[in-house]
Amino acid sequence: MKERVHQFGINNALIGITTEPEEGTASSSLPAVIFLNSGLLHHVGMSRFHVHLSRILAAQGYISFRFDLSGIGDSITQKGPSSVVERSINETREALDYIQSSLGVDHFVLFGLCTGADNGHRVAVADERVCGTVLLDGYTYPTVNFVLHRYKDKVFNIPTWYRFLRRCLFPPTSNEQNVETDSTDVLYAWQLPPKQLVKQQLEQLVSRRVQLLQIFTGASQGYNYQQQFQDAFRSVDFGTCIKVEYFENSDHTFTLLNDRDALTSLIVDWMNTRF
Amino acid sequence: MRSHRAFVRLSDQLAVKGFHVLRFDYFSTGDSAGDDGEACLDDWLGDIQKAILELRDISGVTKVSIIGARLGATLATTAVSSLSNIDSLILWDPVISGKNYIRDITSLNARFTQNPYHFKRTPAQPINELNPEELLGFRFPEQLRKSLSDLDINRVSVLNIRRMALIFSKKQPDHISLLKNLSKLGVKTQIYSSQEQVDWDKSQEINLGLTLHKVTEQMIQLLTTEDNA
Repeated sequence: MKERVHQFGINNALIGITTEPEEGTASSSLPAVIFLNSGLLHHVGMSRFHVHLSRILAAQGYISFRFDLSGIGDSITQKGPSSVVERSINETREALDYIQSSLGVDHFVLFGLCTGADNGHRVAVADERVCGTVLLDGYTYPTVNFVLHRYKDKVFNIPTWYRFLRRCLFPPTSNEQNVETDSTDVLYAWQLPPKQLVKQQLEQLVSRRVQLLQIFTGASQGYNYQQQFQDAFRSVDFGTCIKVEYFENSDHTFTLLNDRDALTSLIVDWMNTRF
Repeated sequence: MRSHRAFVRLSDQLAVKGFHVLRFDYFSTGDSAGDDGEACLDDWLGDIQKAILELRDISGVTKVSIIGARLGATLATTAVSSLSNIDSLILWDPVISGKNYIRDITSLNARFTQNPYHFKRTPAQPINELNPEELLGFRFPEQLRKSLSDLDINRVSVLNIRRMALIFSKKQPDHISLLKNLSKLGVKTQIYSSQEQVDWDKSQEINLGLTLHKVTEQMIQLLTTEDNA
């Protein structure tokens, strides 16, 4: 296995690291795996997962590339008229361009968690070189069963009724309403695209036979049962292109070792059966 | 991991001021070789020495200053005690007692796995199903825990450096005794309050990267001014 650091993109502002199989063991037919930033986490990924998975995939013959978007990790901050979303798409495509020109790989699987999943989806739509995506806690939409799952535990929970009745009888004052804040609120504001748009994009990806591995965790506020993704997009004929997995007991970033081990096995098996 | 971007910015700004800077990941962390949990304390102390040699080799400098955060600060202080030509140490929220550090992250780990903010069901996994070496998602084998527990900045007996600056997010009762112990070693030592507060023990934030501007500017100020009285 060989790892190399690269500077690429406009003004060589972007930094990434390739992980390549042992000399002579890389398969030219396999896609390269591109790891995308999640939030402000740099290219090593949550709990160093990108590094860990890159090295395991290298042993299976895959080239991987983990890199930082501008302003994150080791990459230089770039200012310009483009929005953050546009810059993320453009810079990710620059990463694909770079790997294609330097290593001769012309098809890619994108891996992303949270904002990385959002970016991965958008780049997959924009770039036909993407043949697969592994997206964790990406776009999700409520269904009837989502609502039922969400409230079924609360219906039979006495403390929940007590709090509800208390709020009705004694509404909180304006000061009390602002007491609870989540420190993450000020760091990132997430916007869900219209469902109809994402449906059209998924249909576009399926028509290109892009392989989709959608993974959701129990920490996701918008996802709470295994079949929800397929139910939300019931009218999309995914055929054999999709696999959905719900890690109900995992946190958002797969912090616990057992969860990361299970995630690793899932992804490696999926890669080996799909490509 | 949380401090990575802060150190990138700090390095870039120091380079603009003419400093040669080396950032590195210890064995089995970050981008460096080695699997999680494979390293021992001696590996990490040796990595600091290798980094110093590498920086001198590629830049030609002889005098080196070291900046360390949290456990990195503790490792730097321990490693430096056997080195020469180290000008200064800047320690950002250093772990003073390794024993207390292991105790605190064990407690943080328990709080994390029981926090409904992170997990739909709590505790996240039954105790007997969790990997026994695991703390906050990383492997900490027993030998590593023991050797980290034995670290204590107060017990460093030799420091061949010119000056030391300690930057703390929060005042702690053990700061005064630490200052006294370090001063006895004949090193000019000063304590500063961090201009940005970091709560390293908040279980909701253990996976969040830090974007810190004021504390990096504070470190640059400490390195670039000769007399910080």
